[in-house]
Amino acid sequence: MDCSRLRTLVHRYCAGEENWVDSRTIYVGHREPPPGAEAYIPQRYPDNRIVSSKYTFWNFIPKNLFEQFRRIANFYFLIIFLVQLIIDTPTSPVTSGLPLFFVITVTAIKQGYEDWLRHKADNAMNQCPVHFIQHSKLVRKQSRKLRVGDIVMVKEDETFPCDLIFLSSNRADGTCHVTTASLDGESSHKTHYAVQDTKGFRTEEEIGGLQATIECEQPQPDLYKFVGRINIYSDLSDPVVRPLGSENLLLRGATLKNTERVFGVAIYTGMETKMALNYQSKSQKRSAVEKSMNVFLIVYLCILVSKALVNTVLKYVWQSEPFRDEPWYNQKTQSERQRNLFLRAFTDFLAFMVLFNYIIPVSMYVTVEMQKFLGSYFITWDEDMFDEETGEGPLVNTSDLNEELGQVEYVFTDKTGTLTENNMEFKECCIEGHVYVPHVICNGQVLPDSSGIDMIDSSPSVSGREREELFFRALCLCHTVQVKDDDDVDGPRKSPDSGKSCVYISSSPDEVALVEGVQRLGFTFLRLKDNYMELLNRESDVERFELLEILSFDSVRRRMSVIVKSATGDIYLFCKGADSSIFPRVVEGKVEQIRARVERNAVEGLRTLCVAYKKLNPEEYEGVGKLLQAAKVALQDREKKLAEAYEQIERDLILLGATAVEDRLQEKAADTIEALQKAGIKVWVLTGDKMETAAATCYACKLFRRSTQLLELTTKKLEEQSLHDVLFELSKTVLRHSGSLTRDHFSGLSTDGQDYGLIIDGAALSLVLKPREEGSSGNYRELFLEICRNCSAVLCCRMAPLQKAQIVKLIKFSKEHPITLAIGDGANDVSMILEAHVGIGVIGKEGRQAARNSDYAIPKFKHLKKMLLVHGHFYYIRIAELVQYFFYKNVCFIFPQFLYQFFCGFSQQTLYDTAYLTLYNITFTSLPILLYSLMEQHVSADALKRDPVLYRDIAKNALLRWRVFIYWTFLGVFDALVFFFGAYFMFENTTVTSNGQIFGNWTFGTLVFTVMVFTVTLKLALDTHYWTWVNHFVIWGSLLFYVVFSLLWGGIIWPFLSYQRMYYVFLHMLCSGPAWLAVVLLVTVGLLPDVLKKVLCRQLWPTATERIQKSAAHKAPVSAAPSDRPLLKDLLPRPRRR
Amino acid sequence: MERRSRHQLFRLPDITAMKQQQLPAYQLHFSATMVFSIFFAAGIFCLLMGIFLILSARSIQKVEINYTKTCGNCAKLREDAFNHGKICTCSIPFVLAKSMQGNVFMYYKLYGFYQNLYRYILSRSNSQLLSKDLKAVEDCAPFKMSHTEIPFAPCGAIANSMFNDTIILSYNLNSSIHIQVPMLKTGITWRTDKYVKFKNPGASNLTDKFAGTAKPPYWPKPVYELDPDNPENNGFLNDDFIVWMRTAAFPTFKKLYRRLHRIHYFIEGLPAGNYSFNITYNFPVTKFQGEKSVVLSTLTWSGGSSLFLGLAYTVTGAMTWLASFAMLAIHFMLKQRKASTLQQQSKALKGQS
Repeated sequence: MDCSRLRTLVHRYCAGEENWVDSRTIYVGHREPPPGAEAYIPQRYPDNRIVSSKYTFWNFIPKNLFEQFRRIANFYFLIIFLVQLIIDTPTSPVTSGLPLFFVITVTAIKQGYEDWLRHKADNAMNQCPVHFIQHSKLVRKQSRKLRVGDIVMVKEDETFPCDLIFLSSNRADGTCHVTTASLDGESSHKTHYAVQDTKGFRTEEEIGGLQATIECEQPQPDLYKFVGRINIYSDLSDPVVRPLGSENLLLRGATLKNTERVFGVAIYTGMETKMALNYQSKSQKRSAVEKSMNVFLIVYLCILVSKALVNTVLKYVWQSEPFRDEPWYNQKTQSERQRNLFLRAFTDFLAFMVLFNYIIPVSMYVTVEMQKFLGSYFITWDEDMFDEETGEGPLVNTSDLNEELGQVEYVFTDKTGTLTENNMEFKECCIEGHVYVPHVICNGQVLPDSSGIDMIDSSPSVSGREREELFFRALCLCHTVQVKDDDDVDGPRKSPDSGKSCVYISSSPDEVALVEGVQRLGFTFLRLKDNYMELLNRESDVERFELLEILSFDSVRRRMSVIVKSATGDIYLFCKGADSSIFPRVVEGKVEQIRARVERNAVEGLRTLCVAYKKLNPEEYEGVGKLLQAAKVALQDREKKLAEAYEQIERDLILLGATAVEDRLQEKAADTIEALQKAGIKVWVLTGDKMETAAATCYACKLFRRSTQLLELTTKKLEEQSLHDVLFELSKTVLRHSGSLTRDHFSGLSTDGQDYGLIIDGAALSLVLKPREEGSSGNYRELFLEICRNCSAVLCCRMAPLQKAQIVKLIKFSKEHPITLAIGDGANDVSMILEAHVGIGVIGKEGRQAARNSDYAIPKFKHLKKMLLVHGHFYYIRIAELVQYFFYKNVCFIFPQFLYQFFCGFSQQTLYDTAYLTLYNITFTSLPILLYSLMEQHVSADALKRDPVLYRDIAKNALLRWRVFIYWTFLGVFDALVFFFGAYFMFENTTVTSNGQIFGNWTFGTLVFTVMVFTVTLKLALDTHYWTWVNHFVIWGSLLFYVVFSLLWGGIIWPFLSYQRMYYVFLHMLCSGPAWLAVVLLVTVGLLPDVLKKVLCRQLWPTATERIQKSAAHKAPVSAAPSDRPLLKDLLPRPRRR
Repeated sequence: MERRSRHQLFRLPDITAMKQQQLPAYQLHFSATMVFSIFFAAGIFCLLMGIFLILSARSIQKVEINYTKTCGNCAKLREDAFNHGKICTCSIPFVLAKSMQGNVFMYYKLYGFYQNLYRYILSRSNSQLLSKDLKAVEDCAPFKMSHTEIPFAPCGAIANSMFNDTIILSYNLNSSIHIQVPMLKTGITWRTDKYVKFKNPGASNLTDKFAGTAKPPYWPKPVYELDPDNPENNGFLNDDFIVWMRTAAFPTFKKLYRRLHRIHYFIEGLPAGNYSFNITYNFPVTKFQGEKSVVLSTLTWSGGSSLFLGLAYTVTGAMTWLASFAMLAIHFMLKQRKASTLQQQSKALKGQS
C-alpha cells in the first residue's frame, strides 16, 4: 500500500510522458473505490471547455498577422514595402503599402469575424446548463465546469455535454435512442445500452451511491470504436467486471431521443471528446492552376531580380565615366560621396527591385481569391442542379478547386447510392432452389395476402415447407432493423396490430428491403422489446424469440448473425451474408441450385444475400456465450479477438436460401457516364459489391458496352495462374491493339476498334500493390497501370474503403500525374474523397458524411455532368485567362519602366506618376478582368453540355502551358516596346503641339500609360466572347474612369501633395493632335499581332471549341462530335468504302 | 414568363438570369469576311493618315545649327568654373535659302544633358516656387543654401542648372545693315505653369521681396534680374525659367526659347537671306561631353517636322493591308479545299451506288 502510494507520488511529480498511459481510470462520481481494490494512477483531465476559436482578444493582431505573413506572397510584399520605407526609393511606399494594407485588413476582418462567431458558439456551448449529481442531489452548473467522473443527467432532446458512459435510463430495458445527425449526419435513431448492472438505478440517490471505476482507452477520434471496462463494487461480493463498448458510449454532440432521461458518467471532456477530436481541419488541396500560377510567379520573380541586377550593373558601368557619375548640374551631397561603393550598389539593387516590383501584383491574389469565392456561388445557384424530390441543392465546401473541375481526367465513382439509387426493393428469394417472387408493387399497391407468392418451381414438400418458414423467420430475425415507434412521443396514435404500417429504420437499406419483402410474404417483424423479438406469422400469431446475441455486421466478414431462443426453447443461429462468405461455411443444403440462382441474379445486377442457420444445443450455446464474453471483455485487441470468436461460431451452417434485392440505377446515370467518356475522362467504378452485380451495373450504365472485351484480374483467375503470368498476358492482349487503336480510342468513340474493360477485385489489387521482397515492387504496379491506361473502363469490386483511397492514390501519383475526381455518397467513400484531387459527395441516403468531407456536394450523380462539362470548363477558361492576363498586363506596365532606365542614366526615375503606379492594378484595369473571370462564356452552356468533346480542348492544363504563357509574356513585351518606342520616337526632338510648347517627362509617361490602359483593356475586350451589359459597363466604364480620373488628378492642385507634377499634364496632352494620333496608332499596333494570330489560328487550326463558336455564329447548331478534326481528315485522302 | 412559372414549380431560391449565368448577351464572333473588311478599312485609314502626316511634316521648314564646335573657344573657357565672370560671345552666320512662312519658333537643343535623373527631378521646392515660403528648401539637396546658410531662391539642382545662353537672331540685309529679328520672350510656357504653379512673392519691388535669399551658385545674376524690363516676366514668373523647370523626358531635348514677333519685315515670317545667331555663351556642355544647338522651325497643326508618325501610320497601313489580303487568300484556299473534298466524297458515294 505504501509502496503504491509512493509510486503515485512519484508519478504525480514526474511530469511528461509517464503520465501518458494507455488507459485511463475514472472513479464514477469521484467516489474512491473501497480499500483493497487496485490503486490507480490519478491523471489530470481537461475541463469540459470547447475551444474552436483560434484567437483571443489579446493575441488576435500578432497571431493573425503572423499567420498572414506566413503566406509567401504576403511576405514578399511586406519585404518590398519595408525596403521602400527604409531606403530612398523612387516610388512612394504608399504604392505598395496601400494595396497590401487593404488585403491584410480585409483578410483580418474576415478572419476576426469568423473567429468572433466561433467564440460566440463556444461560449453558448460552454455556458449551457447541465444537470449533474453531487452528493446524491441534482445540481445545475455550466457545461464547461463539468469534470471527468461527474455523473450527468440528460433529458430528452438535449445533446450530451461530453462523452458519457451510459449508466441507466428511465426505460425498463436500459436502452435509449440517440441521433447523431450533427456528428456523422445519420438521422436514424440508434439504440444504446446501459451497463447491465446499473440499469436499474433510477433515482439520484441510487446513482449517487454507485461505487465503481471505469477503465478505458485514452481518447481517440474514431466515432464508432470504444473499449473499456467497468468495475462495480458492492459491499458484499467481489467487484463485478463488465465490458464496455461503443454501444455503451453516448457521444458529445448526439441528441437523446424517445427517452425521458438518462444518467451517465463523464469519461472524456472538452477537447478530448470524440467530437472535438474530429474537428480535424481537412488538408489543403491545391489546384493545378494554382500550382502553375506559382511556377509563373517564380519565373517572374527571376525576371524581376535579373532586371534589377542588369540595371544595377549597367548603372555602374555607365557611371564609370566621372562626368556621368556626377555632372556639374547634379552634384552629390557630402554623405552620398562618402558612402561605401558596395552599400551603394546594394541600395541601388533594392531600389530597382522596388521600382519593378509591380510586375508581381498584390491585386492578382486578391482578384483570384475574389473570383474563386464569388464564382463558386454559380454552382450553388444553379437551378439545374437542384433536386426537386429532396429539395437539396449543390454545396460548395471549398472554392479553391473550382477550376480543377475542368481538368478532371479520372473519375472514381462509388456504385451503391451514387450510380444506383440505393433504393432497395426485394425482388425474389430462393429457398432450396424454389424461387419465390413476392407480389410486386402493382400500381403502387401491395397485395397483402399470402397467396401473393408465385411458386415457380413445383410446390415444396412438407419438410420444404418447414424450411421455407424457417427461412422467412430467419429473415425476420437476423437484422438490426428498428421499428420507428412513435408511441413514446404520442401514445394515442399507436396501432399495435396494424403491422404493415410499421416504418422500419436501419443504417442499411438492404435490411429494410428484406424485412419489408418478407412482410409481403407473410411474416412481419413487429418490434424488439426487452430483448424479445416479436413477429407476426402467416396465421397472424405473434411469435416471440429471445435475442441472445448479435454478431454484428462488418465489411471484412461480410455477414452477420443472431442467436435467438424460440418459445419452445430451441436455440438457433441465423446467419446472413454475401455468398462468398457463406458458402465456405455451409455443410448442408442445396448449395449448387442456390449458387446457380445467386449467380444468375448477380448477373442481372441484383444484390444477393445468402441465409443459413444452425441449431445450437444449450451446451454449445454456453460455449459460444463464454467465447463471446471473453472476447468482449478484452481491453486490448478486442476487435481481433471478436473476429476470431465470430469465425469459430459461424461455421457448420445449413444453407437455407438466398435473396435478391434490386438497386435501381440513378436517373441519367448512363447518359452522364457516356458524356464523361466522350469528354475524355476515364471512369472507374469502385465498389464493395461483388463482381457479377457490379459488372451488371456497369453494363446498365453503359460503362461497359456489348463490344467491350472484359479482362479479369480476380482472385479466381489468380488461383489458376500466378499474378506475374496474368499481368503479362493481359498487357500483351491490350498492347497488341493499342498501336492501331490509339487514335480512335483517344476520341472515346471507338466504334470499330476493340475496347477493353478491366475488372479487378480487392484481393488481387492488394497483391498487385504489395511490394515484392526483391524490392522491385514498382514492376507490377507499372504493368498494372499500363493495362489500366489502355482500358476504356475499369471496375474494381470487393473494395475496402481504404483500398478505394489506395487506388486513387496509385493513379494520382502515376507518371502522368492525372487529375482525379472521386464521387461517392457513403462513409466508406470518405477516404477516397479526401484522397482525390477533387472530392464530390452525393447527398444521399447513407448519411451526409461524404457530403461533409467533400469539396463539393451534389444531390444526384447526373449533376456531375453539368458540374464538370459546364461549370468546370467555364471556371477553367476564366481563371486561366485571369492568370495569363494579369501577367500580361503587368509586363506591359513595367517593361516600359525598365526601358526608361536606359534613357535616364539608370537613376531609377519612374516613368509614371505615383497615382498611376498605385491605381493601375487596383482600379484602371482590375474590374474588367474580374468581371470577365466571373461571366465569360466562350461557348454557350448548352453547347458544352451537348458536345462533351469540347472538354478535351482544355485538358492537361492546356491554357496554362509554357507555350501559352510565353506567348502572353512576349505579347506583353512586344506591346511594351510598341508603347515605349512609339512614344519615344514621337517625342524625340520634335514638337508635338501647334503652339510650339514642349512637353516634359511626365507627359511622356502619361502618354505611354494612356496607350497602355487602352490597349490592355481593349485586349480583354477582344478576348471577351460573352458581352452582357455588365461587361459593357465595366470595360467602357473603366476606360471612362481612367480619363475622368486623369482629368481630375491633373485638374486640381491637391493640397495634400508636396509636388504638383501632374498638374494639367493630361489635359495638355489631349490638346495635342499628334498625341491623339499616337494613341490610336499605338493601340492598333499593340493589338494587331494578337488579332492576326487569333484569326489565322482560327482559320488554319481551329479547335473544336472554335468550330462550335463559328457554327453558333451562323445560327446553325451543328454538333462537333462527329466531325472531330475534320481538317486532318480533309487533308488526307479518304479511303474508299466497299 | 416561362422562367417565373418554372420558378413556382420548383420552389427554388430566387432564380435570376444573373445567377443562372443566362444574362442576355451578345456573342462576339468575327466571321472571315468581317475581319477582312475591318482590316481592309483600317489599312486604308492608316495609309491615308500616314500620307497626310508625311505631307504636312514635309511642309515644315527647319534650321538647326550646332554651335558647340563652332564656338569652341567659348566652350573651352566655360570648362573652367573660375572664368564665369568673363563674357564670351560667338556669332554664327547662316543663309536661309527659302523664306520661312508663318509663325517661327526658336528652340535651344541640348545633347547628353540628363534632366530626367531621379535625384535631379526631385531637387526643387514647389512651395518656394509658389512663394508660399521662400525658405522652404528641404527638398532641394544638394543646392539648398549657401555656405553662409542663406537659402537659395530658386533652390535645387534644376533651377541651378538653368540654361543661360543668350541667343539673338539678326537679319543681315547686306554686309553693313544688321537688323535684330524681333522675338517674343513670353507665351512660350504652359498657361497653367505661369499662372498657377509659379508665383512671385509680390507684384513689384522684387529685390526687396527676395531679400534674405541667395542666388543659385551657377547663376550670374539673381532671380529678380532675369528680365528687368518686364516685371511680368521676372522672378519666378520668367518664362525661360518656367520652361527650364519642366524637366525633359530624354537626355536629348529641345526647349522653346523665343517666338518670332511678326512685325515689319517679318510679318510673313522670316524672309530668305543672310542671318546670324549672336550667342552669349554661358552654358557649359563640354564638361559632360554634351552639345547644344539652336533651332528655327515653323509648325503645322501636328507640330514639328518629325516624319515618324506619318511613316508609322503608312507602314501600319501597309501591313494591315497585306495581312488582310493574306487572310483572304487563306480563306479562299480553305474554301476550295473543302469544296474539292466534298466533291470527292460525292464521287465516292456515286461510285458506291
